[in-house]
Amino acid sequence: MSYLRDIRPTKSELLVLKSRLKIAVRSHKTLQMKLDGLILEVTNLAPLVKAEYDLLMVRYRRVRHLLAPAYMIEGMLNVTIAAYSVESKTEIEFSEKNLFGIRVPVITGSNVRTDLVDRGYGLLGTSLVIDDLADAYEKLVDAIIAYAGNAAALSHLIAEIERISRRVKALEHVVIPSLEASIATITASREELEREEQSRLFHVKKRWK
Amino acid sequence: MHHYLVTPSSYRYICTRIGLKKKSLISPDQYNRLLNMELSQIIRFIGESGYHEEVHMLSSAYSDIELIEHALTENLAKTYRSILSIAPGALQELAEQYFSRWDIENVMLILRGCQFHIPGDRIRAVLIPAGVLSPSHLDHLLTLRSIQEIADNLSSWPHHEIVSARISGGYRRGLFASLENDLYLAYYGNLLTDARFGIRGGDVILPHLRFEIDILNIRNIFRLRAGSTVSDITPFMVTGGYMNPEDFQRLYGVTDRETFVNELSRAGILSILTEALKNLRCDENVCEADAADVVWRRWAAHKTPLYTVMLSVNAMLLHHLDGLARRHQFSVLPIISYLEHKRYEIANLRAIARGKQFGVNPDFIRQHLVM
Repeated sequence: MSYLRDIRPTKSELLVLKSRLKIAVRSHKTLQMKLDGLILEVTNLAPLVKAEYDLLMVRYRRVRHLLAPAYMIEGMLNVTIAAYSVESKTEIEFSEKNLFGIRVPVITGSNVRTDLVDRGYGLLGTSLVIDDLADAYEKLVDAIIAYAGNAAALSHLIAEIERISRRVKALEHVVIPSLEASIATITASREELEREEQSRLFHVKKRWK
Repeated sequence: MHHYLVTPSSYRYICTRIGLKKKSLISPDQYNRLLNMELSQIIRFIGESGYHEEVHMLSSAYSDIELIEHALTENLAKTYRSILSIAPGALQELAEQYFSRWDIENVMLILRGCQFHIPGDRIRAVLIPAGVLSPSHLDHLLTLRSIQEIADNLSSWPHHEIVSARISGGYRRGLFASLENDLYLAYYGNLLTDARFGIRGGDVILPHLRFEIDILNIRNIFRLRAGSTVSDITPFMVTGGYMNPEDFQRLYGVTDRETFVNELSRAGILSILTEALKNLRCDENVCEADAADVVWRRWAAHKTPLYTVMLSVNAMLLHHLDGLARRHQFSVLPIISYLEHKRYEIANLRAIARGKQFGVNPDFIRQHLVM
């Protein structure tokens, strides 16, 4: 096995290898459990992210659909001025939460949806299409924030699953088999040495008689 | 009450001239042809019609859609200025009062442009100097660096007190929205008073003005219902229309269909919306029950009525104005009617050009035309 080379068939080496095997088996079991947990979490999160993505696309299409009438009715500058007039600032907060020892981002937004009278443009000087467009954009920002947090968490989890999966496979297919093979080799060679010793002793005793 | 030594012949002259000008506006057939044109063909069309001067003047600075939009705005400003300059005495005063809503729009654009650091050239390109404030005064306002300075330089404007009282404390959240609302409320209040008692011949615009106020209130009550949680809508309702503000306040709180339809019907809104829906769908069979159904579904879901319905309502307002202008041939109404038609012609051309830019189909664009 390529994993372990130049091992001496001594009892101390055998004890070290046995201890390492024990740790490897325990690590494998723990990582396998963590992997199962992460996969379960991803299975739960993926449909949610998919639904949020679909909602995001629906809202994005709605915005695109309303942009044309807004420009058609109000013209470029009036739309721009209305956009500039919006005074409520959306606040986006970043935090982290611990999921199976992995720190995943949590993104939340506040002040996204605003009341018509608090938006910043006058009610009597603008038309209805500006309301519809502003409302559509607010809903889009809401969907982006919801999607961004969960999509980032999902991508972190998937990256972690990939990393742990590689470790589990390495333990399962390389480390544990090589340790077992080394232990077997050392045991065999120690038994061979023991048999040689017994045979030597037998012949020595026979000569003395 | 002002008295002017204006002979009826000058009224007849200006109104006949306006009538001829109105006939040269783009017809529905021409709109249908425009709907099937590309942007370059539209530029050529408007360059060969009444907009040739602006198109030729701006073609070196802008291209495609920007050229169209700038040429249209420039032409609209020029038309307003030329018509108001040839209108005699009381007609000019009344027309200027009526179109001083452009002053509000201009002042708000300049204030917002100044506060949000929008280049002055971009603001200047969309200003329509059609009211009391002259183009040179607006240009001067554009050069000022703070909203306080702008407010100080508006001392000759009738709404100066409102602007300076609001802006005295500096910029704060919600300032522009409340200022804009206050200015429009003051505008309608002053115009109604002037039309009733201030300017000779002003009473002819009262029916149009009252109908316009009703439509504005209808539009705003739906907008507030859809996007706001305010309980008192009185500050946003313009007084002076045919409908009572209390009716709107009562309607605002309605949550069951039967009461809603009854209130709509009683306030006279349902008949307006039915007519608008009929025109929009080009279907004579649309009845009040259909309109009530459409509006109730939007109302119950806290959504605004479709903006295409409101565009159709605007077309009704224009037809109402035309009817009044025919009834009072030698008054300010033909001037207002022509300039409103001109404004909608510009809006229609812009809608067609922008629709073409976004690649939407002609039927969709047609819904956004006010004809």
